[in-house]
Amino acid sequence: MVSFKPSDEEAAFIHVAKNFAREFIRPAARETEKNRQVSENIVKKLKEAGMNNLELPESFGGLELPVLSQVQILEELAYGDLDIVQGLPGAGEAGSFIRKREEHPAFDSYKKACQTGGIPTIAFCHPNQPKLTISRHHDSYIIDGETVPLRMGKFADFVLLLGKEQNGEDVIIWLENGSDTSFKALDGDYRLGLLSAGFACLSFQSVTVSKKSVIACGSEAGQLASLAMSRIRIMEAAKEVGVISGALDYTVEYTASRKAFGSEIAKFQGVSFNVAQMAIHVKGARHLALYAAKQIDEGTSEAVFHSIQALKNVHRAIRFVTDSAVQLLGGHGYVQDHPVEKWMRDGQAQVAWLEQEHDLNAYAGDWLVNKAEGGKADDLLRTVSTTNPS
Amino acid sequence: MGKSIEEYTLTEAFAKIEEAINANPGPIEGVSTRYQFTITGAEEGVYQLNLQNGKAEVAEDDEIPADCTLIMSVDNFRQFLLGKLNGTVAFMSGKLKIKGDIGKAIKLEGILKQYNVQDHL
Amino acid sequence: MISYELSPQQTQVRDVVHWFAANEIRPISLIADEQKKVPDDWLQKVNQMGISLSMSSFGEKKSESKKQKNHERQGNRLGVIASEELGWGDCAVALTLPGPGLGGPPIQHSGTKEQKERFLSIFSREEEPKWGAYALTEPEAGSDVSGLQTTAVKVDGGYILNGQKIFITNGKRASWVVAFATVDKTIGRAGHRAFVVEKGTPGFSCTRLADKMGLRASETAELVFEDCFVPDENLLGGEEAYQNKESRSGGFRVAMKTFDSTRPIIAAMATGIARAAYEYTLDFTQKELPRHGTHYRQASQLLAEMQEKIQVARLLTWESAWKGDLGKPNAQEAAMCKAYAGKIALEVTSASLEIMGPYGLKDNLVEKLYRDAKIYDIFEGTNQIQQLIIARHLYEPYGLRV
Repeated sequence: MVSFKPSDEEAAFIHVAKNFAREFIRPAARETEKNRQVSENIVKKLKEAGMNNLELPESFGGLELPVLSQVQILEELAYGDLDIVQGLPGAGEAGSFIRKREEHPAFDSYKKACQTGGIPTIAFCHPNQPKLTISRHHDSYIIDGETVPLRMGKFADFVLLLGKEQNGEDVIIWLENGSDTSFKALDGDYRLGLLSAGFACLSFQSVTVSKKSVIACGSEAGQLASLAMSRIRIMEAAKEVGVISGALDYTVEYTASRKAFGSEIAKFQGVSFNVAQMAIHVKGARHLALYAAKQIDEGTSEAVFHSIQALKNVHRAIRFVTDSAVQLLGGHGYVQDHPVEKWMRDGQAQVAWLEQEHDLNAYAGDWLVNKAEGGKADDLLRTVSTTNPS
Repeated sequence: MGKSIEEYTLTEAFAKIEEAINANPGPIEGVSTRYQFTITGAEEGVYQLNLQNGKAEVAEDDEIPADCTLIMSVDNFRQFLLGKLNGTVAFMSGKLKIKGDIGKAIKLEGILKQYNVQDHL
Repeated sequence: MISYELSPQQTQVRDVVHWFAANEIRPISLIADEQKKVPDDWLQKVNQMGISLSMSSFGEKKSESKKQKNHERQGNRLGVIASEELGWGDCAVALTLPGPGLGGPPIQHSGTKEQKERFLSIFSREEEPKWGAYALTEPEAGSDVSGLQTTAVKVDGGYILNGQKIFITNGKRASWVVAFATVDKTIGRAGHRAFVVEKGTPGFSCTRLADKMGLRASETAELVFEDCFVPDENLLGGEEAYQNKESRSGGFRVAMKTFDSTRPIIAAMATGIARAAYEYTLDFTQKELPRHGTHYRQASQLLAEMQEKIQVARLLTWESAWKGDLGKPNAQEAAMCKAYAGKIALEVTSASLEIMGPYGLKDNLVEKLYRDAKIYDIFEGTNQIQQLIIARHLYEPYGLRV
């Protein structure tokens, strides 16, 4: 039966996350951005609230929640501040890969660390890396070059690398920053947004990776990447929904009290209609994220496609809604006395760092027009998850 | 008119349907469909009504797969026969469940409507 | 729990209505558009099949839902699921299906027991097809219903109506029309009354059928009341409904309440129109466009955007229907799905025509869908009105009336 009611368990999680976001995240946003790192206090508090480890399997000390539940929690947390959510240490995007391959021996030391309480930070290196080469030499791989800016690159103890080796085969590699497989975070000048999220390029100087650090290669890697990327997309989408939901509420409150020409500006339809459109964007984006999450939890064959549609939709929505928020606050929106200018900057950084709207739309289009030709859909899903559109 | 419809067993009722159609096969001309009725409730049973070459044949089994299966309670089935149950509304309200070709199910109502089953009871 | 899975009954409703849309509606779609009329023999046939259009409590009867108290109501959800399929088939033909149509909800919500019986029981497949209609709009009162000009003057045993109604779907063929009038223009909404005016009542006539951009098979009537006497028993809800202080603005509330259940239905039809265009264009792209060309890639990307919009429209619509079934206030959600679906129906049909280029000009279903779609951004409250309603709900917690 079609229903939009969260389960009791989800409602309880939402309640905790909502309070946490309002009590701890929102008030710390500016300070965190200035420090360019999430404070230990917030990390500790989040752990106390039991919300620091949603995706990892139980054997890693995680909650192993369905994506549907995580989506609702992440939205609430990001309602507080996206930058802080993106700057939280831990498994990050790599958590979805670990979730799907928890038995892989390469993760053993990470698992041990998680079980003893600390969740080391992993940077996820996605396939779109023009300056990075992966080449195969017998049983080992050599990684050389420099990545694009990666979220949490600056703080990473580990890297999970999803890429293509030179002959075009997919490969997923696990790297610990040790003496033999070292990578280095490069300093850079970051000003746009998500400034606490530890963005950094990682430099690899002909790092040799042995077979035992290879999580998967070939078609197995393609399938794993497809599953994990779908989960990642939905969670990123959920975070963006949190931002626009916050921006909508803030704008409504501001425009309800701000007066011009003798009345509250909300009474001008140029203002109220814009706000109504923001509300539609928020609800639509939320629906697509929840819908895609449900498809993933149920393991349907269209889950990958819906994850793409959901992320693409909210990429557009976050630009529109955060821009509208700044616009409707006028000059007050542009100065840092109000949070909306930050949300707009964070939003713009958010749509750029992983998968961009245009590429997502191209993937989705390929999927639609080609799926009817029996048997090709799976190949395409793999392509979608591991390469750029041709 | 002897008994009322409630007094007929399902098997008797189906025999009457067969009789009524074969007495006047006009409306089933050109129809080639095997219908199955899965009746539930106080009286249960599976019946197939095979309309083929202008002839109706009722069988009490489901060995040959039907083109279209109608699942309903015995009470609703009696109302359906009397023309008191609107098939379309019954589909919509879930009183009548269909498996297989929906078009054929909708056509069946049109066919049965042309017989006044009550006259044969 | 959040779920998008149709129940067995919902699936069956979708499948049956889809079968009907594909096998009965689509074959007459372009003919009906050309003739500006749904063929009478088709309407006869469909009526005999027992298919009718009611915008209220789809697939459920009040008595049944009372009997099964623990049973979750799902009439609104069934309504939107079925309406999407009807819109996919042909929205003009769908609006012409026999039955109470948009006139159903006000009678269902606000009629007395006797009125419900008298007006809603006339629809039978054993008889000639019949229609109900809903007459609110006037030349000088469209979106702003409070500007109603049609007057109702109390006389012994009833009211005398004078005024004009326009854009009334099925207004000419309807057996009765729910018409809104005011007993006192100076008191605004409090003066509004809803009447059920029966066909053939002296002084009640249809003066014109409007020619339109699209939706041509659907009858759009202009109605006139000239010293038209309507008996007391046709005042919707009876005098008591308007005496009660709580429901001071009774007539206005009847008009507005109706929208909470009809807007999701209209939104679902718009979604169906968009889906029809999308499916047609996807098929066209796969069959007609050379692979690996720029055009093919651009088409596939436009199609992805179309699918995304359709999916959002459907989920917004389902949510508002779900809230309605639970008995929660859903005016804001109803306005959202109507605003969104009405807008994207046009965008999607337009993008389809963009993909097909000159092929869209000739022998093409989508050009008709495009002409039809535009009205969905206008009737049952224009897009601007929906935005106003959404905004009002957003600012309500701040005690601000916008």
